Amino acid sequence: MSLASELLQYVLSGLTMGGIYALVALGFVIIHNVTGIINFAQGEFVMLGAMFMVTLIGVGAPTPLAIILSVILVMIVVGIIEFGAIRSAKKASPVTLVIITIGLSTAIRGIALLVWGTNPYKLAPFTKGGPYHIGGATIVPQSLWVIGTTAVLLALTLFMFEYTYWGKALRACMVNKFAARLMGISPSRMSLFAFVFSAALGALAGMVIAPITYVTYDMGLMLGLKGFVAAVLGGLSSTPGAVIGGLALGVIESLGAGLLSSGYKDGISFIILLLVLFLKPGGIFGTSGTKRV
Amino acid sequence: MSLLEISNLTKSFGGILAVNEVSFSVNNGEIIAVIGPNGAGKTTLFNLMTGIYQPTGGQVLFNGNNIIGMSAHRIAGLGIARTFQNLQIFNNMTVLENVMVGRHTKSKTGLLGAIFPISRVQREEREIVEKAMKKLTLVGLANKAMVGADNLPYGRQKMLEISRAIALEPELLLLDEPAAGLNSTETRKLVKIIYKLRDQGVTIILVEHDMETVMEIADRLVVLNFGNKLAEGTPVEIQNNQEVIAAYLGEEDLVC
Amino acid sequence: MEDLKRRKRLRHSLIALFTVIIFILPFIITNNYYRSVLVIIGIYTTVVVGLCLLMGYAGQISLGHAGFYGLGAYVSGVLTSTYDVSPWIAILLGAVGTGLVAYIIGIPIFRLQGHYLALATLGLGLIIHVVMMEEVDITGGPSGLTKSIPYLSIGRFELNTDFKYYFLVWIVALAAIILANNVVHSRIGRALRSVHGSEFAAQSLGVDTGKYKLQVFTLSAIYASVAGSLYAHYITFISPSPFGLMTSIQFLVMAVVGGLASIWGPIFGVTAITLLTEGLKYIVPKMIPQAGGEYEIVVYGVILVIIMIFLPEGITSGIVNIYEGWRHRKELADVTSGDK
Repeated sequence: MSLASELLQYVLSGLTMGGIYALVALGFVIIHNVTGIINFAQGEFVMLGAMFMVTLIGVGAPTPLAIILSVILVMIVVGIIEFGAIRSAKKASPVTLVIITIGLSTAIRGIALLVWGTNPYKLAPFTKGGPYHIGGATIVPQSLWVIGTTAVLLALTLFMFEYTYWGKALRACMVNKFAARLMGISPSRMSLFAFVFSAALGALAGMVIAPITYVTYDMGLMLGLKGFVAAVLGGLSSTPGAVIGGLALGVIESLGAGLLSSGYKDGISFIILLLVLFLKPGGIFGTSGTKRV
Repeated sequence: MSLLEISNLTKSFGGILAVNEVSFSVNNGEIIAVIGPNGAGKTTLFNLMTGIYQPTGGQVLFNGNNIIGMSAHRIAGLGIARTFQNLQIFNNMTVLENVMVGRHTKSKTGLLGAIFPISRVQREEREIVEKAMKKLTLVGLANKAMVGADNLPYGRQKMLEISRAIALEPELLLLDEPAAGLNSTETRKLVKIIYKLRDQGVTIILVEHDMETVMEIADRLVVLNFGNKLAEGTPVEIQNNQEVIAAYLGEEDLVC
Repeated sequence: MEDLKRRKRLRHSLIALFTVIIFILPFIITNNYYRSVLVIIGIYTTVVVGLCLLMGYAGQISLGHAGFYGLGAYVSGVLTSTYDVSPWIAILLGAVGTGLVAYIIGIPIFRLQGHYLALATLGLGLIIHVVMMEEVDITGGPSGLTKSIPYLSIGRFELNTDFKYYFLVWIVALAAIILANNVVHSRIGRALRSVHGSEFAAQSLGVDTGKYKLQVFTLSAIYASVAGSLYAHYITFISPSPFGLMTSIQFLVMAVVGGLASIWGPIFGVTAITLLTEGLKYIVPKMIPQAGGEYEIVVYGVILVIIMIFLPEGITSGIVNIYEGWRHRKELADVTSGDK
């Protein structure tokens, strides 16, 4: 394989993972902007989506039905969590809320461990068919599913923000919570909406990536961390930033792992996080605002 | 050379000019009042001088050094202290501890000293308490030293902020509406404190709405309106300035 | 300033009383298992005291303290077993090295507002764990160090029993508490508390907030490292498993349960959670024979959520708050009567 086709290969697999990171990052950004919380349980939403899907396929559900049911299930679980844990502590300080999400992610991971065990699960690709060859690189159909799903979800998210009442209200909350409340938008309802919406994004990300990576009870940890790195790359408050951050992280990580060392693949994203915080703390695509006294 | 020289200082918030090309200078030992209608940019001016905002343009020379771009804590270290229009008391601390934080720049104990309080550290700690108590005595709060700061009534919290600011032993003290919310007795006390500080060599800039007090204590006034400097001069000059009168009373009155 | 002195005296006599109790305890408790639990409580207390200092005074969360704890353990373990370095020097090297790592990581993070530290330390902890697993030549990989780690000794006196080691561990833990207490009541402790009160006012009085947060973070990492070294010389064998994310979360739970406002919080939190964990190890297999150790992680998660919702300042602070509330009202009465 020539260097050019090798590079293309890395970029393609990088974009696949990058799409997943982008979806997780999007969830981080939406929840962070609406509630001010860095949601540590974001990665667990991804894991839950994949696990529900594995279980439903296991009992014989057809793939489309399994996808829809899994998304709904994750949304219900997260809705209950938001209602039960986040809302009842609404007056708490940000530190407290962050610790609550750490507790939630720990509990969810633990319950997943009890329910599904430590063994990895494998899911069949959504569609059959051999790998395709592009300019010397190969790509499996599931990667196309990942990239396609990411693109569709991003388009949907942007459409929702731009044209629907809920989307506009959410955006209003992201810009100025106080003013939004004056306009009759309930921040607590928006917080619920942000969590459930992010849960759906995470769950779908988990389902499309499941056939490519294995599904394990602790897969959410790394995906959550990388989604966060992607969100920070994008400035932690911008939706397009999160997407670009996710794709960029996926590609850099894939190139780094391929060209340098695969054992420390997970270390690369962390080093990128530190570099960004060192050199451009506002994120590569972010802007830093002024705070009023 | 003047203690403070502000030239062409400008700050815009998303296109709105809160402070526009403002210039004036302050001499050692003066009491300067900055006045102007609400939204004239007075507090923004203070925030620019103390490093809480970074200006869009212009410079501020303090003792000949440009302090623009410095962080707030470094500017404090150079000897500029301030109080806040909306009180910023440390509610989680006692009155005495509030003022002890004011001694921060005048003490040296680092992390190692904090961990292992050798005699030098203990001596410094005692000195901090003594100096803080002196500042509390100056504003009449010495008997409330061990009380939680959030338990003080409003007027006394304002005094606490002043004593906390002067614990820093500043060359320049910025008071943001010190008389607002004070009754007449408290205001008299405030005036006395301000004179006492001036006698100790502290230069003072205050933002104030209480015109009677301002005209009494200020050596010179700077008038701001919509971010622009409208006038500068002695109390008598300002009182007779047509533009200032117009700004305060509204254009219509001028026409009549 | 009699009041100030009286409070200081009270604080000191409480610490003195506690020290006496600690040194009597191992003579009363003669069962070796209970003694070993007390040793572990002492080691964990050292870590959690540092973590509480970070959380309570710098307002930051760390999910990487198991990593720092592990760094201390591995530096001690590897240097003493493979390279025959004196254990005391190895502890020192571990502490300096870990402090350096924390400091470098902290420089960019403390320039920012918000909760970047939690995720950055989560990442750092994971990386440290990966290095322990991957660098097989140095660490022995997943199965741990092959050579055994020597016991600590003072001169010829080898600390090779729970009873002997207990004293060393608790002298270190008490020192950790006292030194942390010194920091809290120093210029730096005040500066950090003032940041909680009003960040703007703190800065306008010359407090460099980022600098002190970074220093406290470094100090807390050093605490964890020393505790890790003590752990390595106690167990005399180490593998990566006790230094993973679970342990970091366990430390966090301990800190949160005890509460951050008081120096007694960590001791209470560590004791409560250690006893709970040991109790569960004993009870759960009897109730659900097929259960492994997995339930622990669920329990920790649920405890975190419940404590944060109902007692966000921890169990000890819950009690302190009731007392403070009473004192508050009394002071308020004093102030208003003083106004007349």
